Amino acid sequence: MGWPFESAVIRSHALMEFSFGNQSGRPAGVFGKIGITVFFLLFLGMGLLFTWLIGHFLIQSFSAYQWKPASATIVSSSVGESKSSDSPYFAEVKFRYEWLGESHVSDQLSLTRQTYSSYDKAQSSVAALPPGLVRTCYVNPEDPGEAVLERADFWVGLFILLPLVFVVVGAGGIYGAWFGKDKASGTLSPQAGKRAKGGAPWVLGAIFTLVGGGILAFWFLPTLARSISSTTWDETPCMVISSRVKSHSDSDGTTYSVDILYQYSVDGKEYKSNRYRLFSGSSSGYDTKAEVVSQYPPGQRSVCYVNPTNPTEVVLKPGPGWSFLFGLIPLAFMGAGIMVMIQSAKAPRAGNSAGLSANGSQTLKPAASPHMKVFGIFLVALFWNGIVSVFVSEVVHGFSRGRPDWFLTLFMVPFVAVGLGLVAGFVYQILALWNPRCEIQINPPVLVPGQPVEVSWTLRGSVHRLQRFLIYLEGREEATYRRGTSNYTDKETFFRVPLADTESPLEMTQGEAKGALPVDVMPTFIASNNKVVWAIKVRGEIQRWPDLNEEFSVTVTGGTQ
Amino acid sequence: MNAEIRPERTTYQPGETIEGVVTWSTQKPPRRAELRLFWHTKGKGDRDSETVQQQVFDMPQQQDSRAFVLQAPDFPPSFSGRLISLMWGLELVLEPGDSQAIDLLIATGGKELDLQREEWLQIADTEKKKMFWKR
Repeated sequence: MGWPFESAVIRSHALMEFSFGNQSGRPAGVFGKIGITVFFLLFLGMGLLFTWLIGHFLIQSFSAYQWKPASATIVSSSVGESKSSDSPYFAEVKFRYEWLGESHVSDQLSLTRQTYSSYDKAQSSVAALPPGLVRTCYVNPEDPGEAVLERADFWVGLFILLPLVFVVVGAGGIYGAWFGKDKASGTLSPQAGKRAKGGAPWVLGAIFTLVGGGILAFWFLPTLARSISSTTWDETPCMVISSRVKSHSDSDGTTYSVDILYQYSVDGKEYKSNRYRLFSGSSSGYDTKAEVVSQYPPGQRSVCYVNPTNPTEVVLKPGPGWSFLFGLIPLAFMGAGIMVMIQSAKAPRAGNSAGLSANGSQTLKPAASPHMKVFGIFLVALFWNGIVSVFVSEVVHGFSRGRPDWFLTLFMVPFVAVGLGLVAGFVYQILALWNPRCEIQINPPVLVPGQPVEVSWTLRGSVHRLQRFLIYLEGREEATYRRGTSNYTDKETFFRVPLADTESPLEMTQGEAKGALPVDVMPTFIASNNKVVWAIKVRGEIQRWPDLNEEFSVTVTGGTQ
Repeated sequence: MNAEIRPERTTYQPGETIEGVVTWSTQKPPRRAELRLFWHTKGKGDRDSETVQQQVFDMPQQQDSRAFVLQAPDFPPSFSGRLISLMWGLELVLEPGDSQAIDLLIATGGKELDLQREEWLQIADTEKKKMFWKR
């Protein structure tokens, strides 16, 4: 089969008028620079303020490293409670030490008091300091009455990097406004060797991946593992001391959490905890929390589940519960970061692969393998439905209590519809795994306009199920643009030529097409936002089953002009 | 600022020499003066641009006139599609101050590549529908 394009007609056409003929660039004026400076001064100012505050805190925390070690004996240790709503618990410790022959008593565990929202964390800290324990304390030589048992960890010093990022951005922005070259001159063209778009997306993607991956690895997965193992912890009688719905207010509104303080004993020793589940946290929806709290009035006898290897670790409800789905948010962060990094890495310099080998045949790989499609839609469906299910469970709870939240119910309808669509898409891609697989070979591997090309295909699998089989070469424009916070890509096919179109299983199984592209087609062009791409598309119709649908990217080079 | 870019012509074949003269008149002598040969996109997508060659003029004066010689690159050619158009240009950049640009056309045969040709779309759009709404 040959392509009817060997002698393509070249129509004469008028040249497009350019929009910027002989126009002047607009430099950023003094007022513009002042505006930019004010904007970045805010960054710089906030950065410096927080650098000073954190620096001051760190200097204070690390000053104990200059203090002298001495032997100390713990006199008493218990969990203290302050009036702070969010982190009321702390380790209250009293110890005695000797300095230059004089005996002193201190109640400072560290220079900065560590407070906890959960009782058992404070209790765990206290458990490590039982009365009578002898250990090292650090004495201020200038004021021997002052001593601490613990010094700040050095990694805490990394916190200073956070405000320093703001300082660098602020100072860099101000410098760029006054001394930067391109920005100051307002030119249409970037500096030589630079492109209008830089590597910022890759850096952003890397930050998302690191933050998401870090939270996932250091918090979500360990907590999930402990939550699952909590179902096997020792069932232990406990008594509720106090219970309430705790509110957390900030600029985003008010959220609520369950706060039940209970007492239990292990091996004759009394412990307290306010941990309901291991995946704790606050969320909107007061009623569900109030319902939980109403089941645990003060004085109520119940059971809790104690970690047999650590009696201070305990929960009232074992297992991860639905709240753990919120933990999938870092997974989404990481996924989004990886996608951005992959996309950034895929975006090569504007060019058309000139210099690629133009000899020999090459087997093409599909743009996305069937397994990758399944995996991709599985991840998206899991994330979407995971989040949606949290709210759906609230809706179901409302109905089961006879107090349906109609606003939330109606609000959730489109989200649930999208979730169902994703599940349907997942099933569709699973079914598509049983479709025949197409292998495409191309010679030469890089298409040159006007030069002969051979494309051959082999179809493996249940070919007999195909009713019609199509292969065609396609050239298309892809334009990516930003609207608000989202990116959109429009595609427009400008070239499409069939290589195969058959209903005969024999012709489907194996075949080849020879031909040549017209000499004046646009070669492959890849820039950050605008692309001209070429691909071989394979389509197969299967009755009552997902169609065969694959795409193989090819490169068209500048040619022999 | 008064500035002018005067190439010998505005249409070139890839590989051809682009020659001409730039003149400018500014209130103060520019700190730096350069002529850039660049492409940029226009259309639905966000703008992309790249400077592929530049000629820096030494010791620019307040009123000056300089000759330039650049070479039209092989790629990308000027083209126009439904979504994207690519244009070449020359831009005189005077720092601090202003810039001035003119359009060029660089393509084989001196004609912008036209992506919108009916004969290049052999499978009609109805094909898509047929593929989707199966018999």
